[in-house]
Amino acid sequence: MEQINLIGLTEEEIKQELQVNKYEKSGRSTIVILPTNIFENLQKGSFLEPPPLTKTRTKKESLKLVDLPPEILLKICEYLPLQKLGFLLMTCQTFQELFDNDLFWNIILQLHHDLFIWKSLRIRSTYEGKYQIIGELNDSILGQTTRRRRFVNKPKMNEGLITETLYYNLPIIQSFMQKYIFNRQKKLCKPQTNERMRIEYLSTLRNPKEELFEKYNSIKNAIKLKDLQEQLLQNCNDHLGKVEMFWKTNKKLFTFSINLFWIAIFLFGLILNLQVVGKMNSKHPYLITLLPLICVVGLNYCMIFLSLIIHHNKVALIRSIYLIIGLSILISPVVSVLLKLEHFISLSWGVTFIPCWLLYGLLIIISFWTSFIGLWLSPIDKIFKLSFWIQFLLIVLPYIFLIFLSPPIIC
Amino acid sequence: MTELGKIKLVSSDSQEFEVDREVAAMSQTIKNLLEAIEDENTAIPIENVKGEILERVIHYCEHHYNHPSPKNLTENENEYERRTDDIEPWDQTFCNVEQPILFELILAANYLDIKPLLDVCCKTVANLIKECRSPEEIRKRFKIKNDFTKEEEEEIRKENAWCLDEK
Repeated sequence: MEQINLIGLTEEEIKQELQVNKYEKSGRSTIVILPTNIFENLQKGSFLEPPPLTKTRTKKESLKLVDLPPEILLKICEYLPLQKLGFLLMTCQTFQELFDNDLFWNIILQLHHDLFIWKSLRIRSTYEGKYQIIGELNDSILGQTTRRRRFVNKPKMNEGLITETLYYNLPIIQSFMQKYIFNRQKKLCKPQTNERMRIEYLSTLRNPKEELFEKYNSIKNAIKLKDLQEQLLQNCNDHLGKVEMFWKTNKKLFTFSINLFWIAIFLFGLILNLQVVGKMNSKHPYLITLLPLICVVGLNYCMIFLSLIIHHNKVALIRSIYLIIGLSILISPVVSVLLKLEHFISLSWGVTFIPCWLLYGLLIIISFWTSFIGLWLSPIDKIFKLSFWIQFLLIVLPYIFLIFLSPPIIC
Repeated sequence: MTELGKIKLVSSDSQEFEVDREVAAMSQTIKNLLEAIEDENTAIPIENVKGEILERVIHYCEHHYNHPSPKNLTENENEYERRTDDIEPWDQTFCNVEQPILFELILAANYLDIKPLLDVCCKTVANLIKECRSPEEIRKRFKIKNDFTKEEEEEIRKENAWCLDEK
């Protein structure tokens, strides 16, 4: 008779010894010495029941991380980032089993609101073969209410894929899935490739609700701005309309008064010039120099007057051109006065002649330039082109003539 | 006969400790027991905690009773990932023990319902895990036996590739 002492073995080891039935198969009668509590359990028939989830620890063994109760492990997990949780999950089957638990994932879902949660869910789904559920959620994010109602009516689907836990966690999962889709749309490159990019990428991960709220606000602001713009535009149009109406109704009066004013200035300048020139020696060539000036100013005035009639909307520009021309007319007597001084003060010819001609040349350039700008800014048509070339011929040719021929004439 | 204002705690290995009532009341479990017990001289049995561990727990309670730490107002309970870098220096030294003792402390703190001690011990363990850069390192540090078959391990690696990718 064989005697086997099983005292000192763990419960698991004893069970293993008894379950293989090697003693019965051997055909010999065997005395098995068991610890008292195990013997009692065996008598009650409870010994062969499934073992409890938490392992019992013998006195010899020192306490290990895996021996800690699940609630403590879950508490430790609260302080861990998901990556480390993943590592822990990969260390042994105890953690694998512990973490493949609805309670655990529920806690993790509530703790880790970041992108990785989706990955965790994917893993979770892999364990239970629930790829299809994730797929379903993926497609039905916007129809949350409908889907929830469907689940309420039909909590267990024919496929048997949806567990109650997953159903109760559905709103959380859906929110994460929403986030995932938002992020996936943004994600054009892998964030892991570069730390800076990763940080930038992570900084873009926001709550979809927040993002939607921001979008909503921006749209709202844009609408407000648009409304404001439209209102302003309307106001401007109204105002411009009023101005236009005022201009149209008083157009003739305005044109007449402005023209009258400038004609007065023109005539004043002309009289002054003629007075000065009249007092000069008729043999002097200065009259020849004044004629082109008068022609230029006259032509300019005619052109601008035409422009004013045809394009009344360019009033401001035309007024400024008037001003320049008017000033040039006023300056011309100054030239004449300077020339006249030559006769009163017996200065040498070169002292007065050269500055006077330089001044006159400047005057012509200004006049030429203003008329050119006037042409450039106003719509060019045949009349303006023609007047421009006439001015050109009238100004430049006499100027060249005077520069090259007047000194010999004077002499 | 215990001194006035003191109570007697008895560990699982029959070691006796005399503690101030207020200090002992830091444990919610003991506090509840004290409220239930009429006779103040009755020794309170702490059956799940060994003498060595109970001594440490009492030491922790005494220190924090005499040096109450200011509440960390910045800590947000709703933070997604709780902080583990806010352990006080004294607590760090206190928790700088061998792993089995640390885990025993966790169990004791859990049993005695001493939240600050439980938190600090869990944070210490979390820090130890955080220092590991791979599952292998965790196994090595915590003496965990790899009970996966090669195929299982390969499958798990594939499934958890996301956490291995993260640097």
